[in-house]
Order: sequence, then C-alpha cells, then structure tokens
Amino acid sequence: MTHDHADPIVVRALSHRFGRQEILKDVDLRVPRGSVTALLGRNGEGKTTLLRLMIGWLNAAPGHIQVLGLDPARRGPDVRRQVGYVPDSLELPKWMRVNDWFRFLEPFYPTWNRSEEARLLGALDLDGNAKVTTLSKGQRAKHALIAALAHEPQLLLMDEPFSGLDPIVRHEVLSAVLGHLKDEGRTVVVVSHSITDVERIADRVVLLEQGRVRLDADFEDLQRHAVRLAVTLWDPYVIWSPPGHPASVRENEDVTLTYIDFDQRYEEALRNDPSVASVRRVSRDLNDVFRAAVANESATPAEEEAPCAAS
Amino acid sequence: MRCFLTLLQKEWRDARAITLASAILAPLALVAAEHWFLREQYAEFAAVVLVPGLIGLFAAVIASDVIAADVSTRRSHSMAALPTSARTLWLSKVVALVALTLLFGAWVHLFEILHYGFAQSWDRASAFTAGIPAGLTNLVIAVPIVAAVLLFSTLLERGFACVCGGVVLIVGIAASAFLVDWHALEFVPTETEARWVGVLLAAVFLGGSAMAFIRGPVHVASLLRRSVLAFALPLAVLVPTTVATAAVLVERRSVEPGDPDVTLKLIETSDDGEHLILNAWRRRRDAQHRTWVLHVPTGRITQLPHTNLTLDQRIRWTDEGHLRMWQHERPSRFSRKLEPTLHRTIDLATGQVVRTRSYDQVVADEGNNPFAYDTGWGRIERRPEKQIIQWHGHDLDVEVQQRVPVQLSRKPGFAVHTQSAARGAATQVVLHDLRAGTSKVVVERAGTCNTYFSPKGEYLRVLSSSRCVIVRVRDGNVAWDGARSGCFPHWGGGSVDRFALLFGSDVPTRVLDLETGQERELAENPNSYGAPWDLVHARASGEIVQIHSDGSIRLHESDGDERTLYSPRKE
Repeated sequence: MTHDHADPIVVRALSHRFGRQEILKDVDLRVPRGSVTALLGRNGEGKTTLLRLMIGWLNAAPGHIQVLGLDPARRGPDVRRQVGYVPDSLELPKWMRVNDWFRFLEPFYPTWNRSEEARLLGALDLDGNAKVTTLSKGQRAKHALIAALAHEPQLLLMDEPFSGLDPIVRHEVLSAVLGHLKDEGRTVVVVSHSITDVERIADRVVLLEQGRVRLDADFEDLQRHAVRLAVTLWDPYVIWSPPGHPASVRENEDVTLTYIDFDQRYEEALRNDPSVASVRRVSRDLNDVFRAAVANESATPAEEEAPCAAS
Repeated sequence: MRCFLTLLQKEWRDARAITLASAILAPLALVAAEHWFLREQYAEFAAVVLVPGLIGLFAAVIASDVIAADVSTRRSHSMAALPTSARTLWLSKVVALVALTLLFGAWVHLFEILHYGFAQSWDRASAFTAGIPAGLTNLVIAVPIVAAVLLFSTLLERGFACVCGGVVLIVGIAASAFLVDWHALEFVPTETEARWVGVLLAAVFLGGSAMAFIRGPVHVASLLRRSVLAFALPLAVLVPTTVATAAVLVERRSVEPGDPDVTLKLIETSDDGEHLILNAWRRRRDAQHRTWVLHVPTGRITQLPHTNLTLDQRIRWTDEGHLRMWQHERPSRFSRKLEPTLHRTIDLATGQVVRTRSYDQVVADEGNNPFAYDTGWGRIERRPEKQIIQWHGHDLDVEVQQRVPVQLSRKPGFAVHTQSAARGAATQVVLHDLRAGTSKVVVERAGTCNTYFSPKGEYLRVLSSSRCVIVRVRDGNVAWDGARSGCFPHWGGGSVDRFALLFGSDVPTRVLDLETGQERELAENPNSYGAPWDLVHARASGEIVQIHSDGSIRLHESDGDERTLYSPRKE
C-alpha cells in the first residue's frame, strides 16, 4: 500500500513524556485523506505535542507514527518538505520583510510555487514588502499560512492558527484559504482549543484529554447523536440522577442534560420518572456537545469550565 | 548546498549589525589604545596581544548570540519547522561564526597594517606583521573560550550569561589545571601540550553544543535544564579526563621491584655489608623515586613506604645500625624544588620507619651536637693578639689573613682548611683535631687545592693541580699519593672508607684498598643510566657491587666470582 492511497496520518499506541509528565498516552488516530480534522482539547492536553511529533520536530517514545507513509522520527526533513506547517506564532528575524521569509524558504521546498505565493498574498491582502516587525497578529498568521501553503503541500498541519485573531480575520482566512483546500481534497489538521473556530470547516473531530483521545468522531455523526434536553423536576431539593450519564447542569428544579450518544430510551425513561415534571428537547451548539464529552459530573454554571468553549 | 548557503546567509544577516559595528569600533579602540597606552610604539605588542584579544572578544560575542538569540526570541520555532536536520542548522551557525571571525580578523589585521604604514611608518607595519604569527598562536587561547560560550549559547537564552558561563568554565578549568601538582605527577605540560588541551576542550565543547542543540525550544524545566547541562557537561569533561590522567600518571610513577623499566642507583652500603640501599625510579622520569633495600645474602628487596627519601648525608647511620633518611616534599604546590620535611629512621631488617622527626626537631638535635655541622665558612674574629677563625663556637687557633672554607669531617671532631704561613707563601693544608685542640699540616705546598673527606671521615683527599693525596685522618699520615693526571680517587656514594674508586676517565676502572694500597680491576660496565659512582660500590668486606645496564645488580667477589643479586623482569 503506497501512501497515495493510505491515510496521510496514522498514529498507533503513541506515548510521549517530558520528564515525569506524560503528555500523550497510548494515542490511536487515523486522519483520512481529504479530510479536515479538528484536533481539540484544553491547553496542555498534548495537541501541539502531537502535531510536532507528526513533523518530526519531536521524536516519539513508544508507539508508531506515520505521516504520508514516512516515519517522521527518522525522515523528519522529508516529512516537513511535503507538509505545510503553520506554527501558533511565527517569529522571524527583525530584518526580514514578508517576501524575505518566502525567499528564505524557497530553496528548502522543491515544489515552491511563486504564483501560488502571489495568489495567496493577494487573497489574504498581505503586503510582500512589509517588514515583519510591522505586521499585526492577524497579518503574521496570514504570513505563516502563506508560507505553509506556497509549496502546495498535500497535508497541512495548523497549530492554533486562529488563536488571538478577531472574527473578521478568522473569517477571511477560513473563506479564502481553507475552503479552497477542502475543495481540492487536501488533508488538513487544525489544532484548536475552540470548536467554534473550526466548526464551519472540520468534518472530523478528535478530542484530546489528559493525553488520551477521548473522542474521535465524524462531525456530522457527532451532531446527529448529540441531544440536549431541558428537564424540570417537581421538587427542587430532590436528589436525582438522569439515565445514561449525560453532562448536566442543574439550577434548582431546572436541569439541562447534554447527551453525545443519545438513545431514545433515555428520553422515555425521563418521561416515566416520577420526579420529572417535564422533558423537552432544546437547541444545542457544539460547545455543549464537547462539554458533555469531557464532563461526567454536574456542575453549576459558575463553576463550569468550558474546555471547548468559544474564545 | 543551496539550503546551507541560505542558512548561512540568514546567519550573516542576523549578525550583520553587530559585525559592522565591531568592524568600526575595533579600529577605533586599537587606535585609541595605541595612542594613549602604547604611545604609538610596540606594534608587535598590538599584533601579539591587542588584535588577538579583539578577535577573541568578537568571536565570543557572536558565539553568545548565534544560538541563544534564536531561542530567546522564539525564532527557533520557525527554524524548527524547516525541512532540514538539526545538525545542519547547528553547523550553519558554527560555520557562520568561523567565517565572521575570519572576516573580522582579516579586516582588523589589514587595518592595523595600513594604519601603521600610512599613519606612522612601514617599519612599524613590518614589526606588526612580524608579530602576527605569535598573535595567531595566542588566538588559540580564545578557541576553547569561544567554544565554551557557544556551548552556553546552546544551553542558555541570554547572551551575556553565555559569555559569563563560558569564561567562568574556562577559568575554572584553567585554575584546576594550575592547582594540580604536575611536578609531583611527573608530567609538566609544555605550552604546546597545553594548547592542544585547549583545542581538545574546544572540540569537547563544540561536541556538547552539537548534542545539546535541538529543534526549537527545550521541553525540560528551564532551571533543571540549565543546572543539569551547565554542570553535567563540564563534569562529564573533567571527571573522566581527570580519572584517566590520574590512572595514567599513577601507572607511570608507580615503581615495584622487578619492574623492567626501572633505573637503579646505589646510594649506600651498610657497614656490615648485609644491605644495599638503592634509589629506584621509572626510566626517563626523575621527579619521584622510591627507596629499595636489598638484603645481600638473600637477594630480597624491600621497598620503603615513602617517596623521595634521600640519605641524611651528615649522619647516615644511627648507633643501632638504622638508616637515617630525609623525606622530601615541595613546600608549596607551585614550588619546583623539593625540601626536606621529615626525618625518618629506618630499620633495614624490616623496612619499617622506627622514628620520625620534623625538620625543626632535627635541627635542634644537631644544634646540641657541636661536631655535627657540615662544611661552612669560618668567621674571622679579630683578637687583640691575632686574627683567628671562629667556626660554630670553636676557635681554630690559626692566624689567617683572609676568610677560608673550613670543612668538618663526618668523623666527629676533625676539621680541615687551607692556609698560607705568610703573605705570598705556599698553601698548606691543615687538619685540626677539635677535641684534642691540636693541628697538623698534612700537605705542604698544596697550591690551589680542594679537600674532601671520605664518607665516614677516615680519610682526607687533597686534590691539587698536580697531585692527589689521600691522608689518613687519625694520624695525619699519607695513605696514597698519586699524580693528578693518572687517575682520580673517589668514594662515590658509598660509605665504606677503606675502598676508593679510581676513575681513569669518566668511569671507575679500579678499586683502591687504602689499608693495603692494593688496586683491583673493576668489571667493565657499559651502564649509562646514572652517574658512574652510583653504579658501583665496595662492601666493607671488599666485594664490589655493580648495577649493570640490564638493571641487574651483581656482586663481584675478591676471588673473581660473580653473583647476581637482583635482576628485573624482561620487558
């Protein structure tokens, strides 16, 4: 099987630690060709580490990782030559202009395409002669994105590319670049701590928590099986637990339940429960779904931490 | 290659500002230093010291920033994603450092030559040029410093801290080397060897930097990383090299009976002839030696427990027959000279030290024995009636016109000096019995001569320009008289007075029995390891002990028989 037909990224039983701290634990992951995969999780859950392992920046300890059919630990330069990588922040020497960085990178990438570079500069409205020290955060993100895409990689890895960007720039990047990539069938992995950043482009979602893959699902399936119920209890002081271990938020007699793998029997059980006065379905957004995925216990809204909350 | 050149170009652009600034400031600094401090002279000093110093400083500054700056500004993240190996990234930085240093060095030298040539004279420019080779040699000192700074640039993120770290590390290593008692280890590194050690250290630091250089930031707690790498690497360098060096040096200095490459020196023969005292040291090493006691009847050798023992030349034996020796040590780590510190009295039968006295105690002991002094100058004291020689509290009742050396025999109570009966008269050799208070002229018309007592003081050798006379001390009679040109009698290092060695030229060829006046041929001995008189001794019973070139010790008996007392293992 050549990597042309295989999944561009295959990770099996991958672990990694920094000193005593185990960052990744037994991670299994496959990224299908042509997909846009959102790699989500809170800060420090191992998303960036996983991405750096994929490009051979870090060397994995136990486990197996293959990117475009290559082992990044052994053939890191070859992997990086074929992959577009967008770091979370692009820091460059102060003497550089935007185009200097492209000219610096060009010899490293045999497939560098100057017309694509020019097209992206125009699409993202970035001045090639601007000094890098004068670029805003959004412009630096665009600069990094163009640098990662100008050699037309089949696989694009982005490490929190939207972090700190205002919604307008985010929209600009998404519509001008990523939609285009998706249309071309290129594979994209986007690391983010916010589902709202990627919900419009991602077709797969991988959730990392405490170094493990807690959720690896098709985005549509996830939305299809995720249900949010508003339940009202007769007695606001009664000790009550819902069926199916959903994420729940309770305020006196009002309880909001979020199921990520909903079963119709749960709703029937609720309707037959003598403590329950009423049950109704309510609209839910992706953040609710991810709260449910990571939260096993009830929490008050004030205490609730939103691991995948919109920034 | 194109990628590497691109990386080099980036490094050049990173360092361009500081390089250009240095290229402007360095000539200004040189001109100022030469004008204000060197007074427009000492062009060679500028070539040997100033210019290499500036080049070293420039290299250290570049080295401090070349890696640390990328890490501290997070530019290392951007470089980490490049499709090239970390080794290539590191190499580009080192090559850039070397290239920039060469460029800067060439510029500073060129400036100095032109400056001296046009602003002063071409003679000074020539003097400067003549000093350049020495300056480049001095520049080697900067190499390990720059390499250490580069290492710290890989470990730390602040340029100034890197320079400090590098300098402290090198100064620490240099100080450690300075504190080592190299003389005691019989290895004093030459300047060339020290330079090679510097180059070796530089290679180690470069290797450390290459190993420590990784892609992007380091995911170890900063404090831990700094402490582990900053201390572990120097330790990793110093500990194995110290242990290896110590092992080599200990192996080189250890001496055991039977070792094949040991050089032996006969230093004493006991009165009863039972024991021979030998100094033993590694061939071609002369800083440390051990003392062996050879038991003649059995050939058994005992190695004394202390190093650097030498005979107490004043009193070699105690009344009990124990050997008296001085143990020598260096008064300070930096001293090249050994000094006697402890006085050991050794029982030859067991090889054990039976008494140890400090230097001060021994001096006090000897101070209580008025006849224990060695050769010294007499002091002329003017008395109302005449001038006499006063010597350590004793009046030598001899009228003299000038200060003369007075020599005391090891046989207590006898002293000798030369005198002239009147101004312009021939020199006489006068022997004094200090206990009896009598004097006797033992050699008349001695001319310019020197006197020498046999080891135990039984005989006095008077060596004049034409003759050699041996006088028996106890009665002042001549025991042997010979022409100076024929042969030269000497007792060597032995302590048997009765037998003197007769030197034909450089080596002793015969043994003279002073009791009987008979002479005996010595077996030919081509041994060249040591002075000839250290290779042959006579025992009191008349046998001759010789150390031969193969390291064996042989006993030549009076009847011509030969017996091997000791022979080393074959190499």
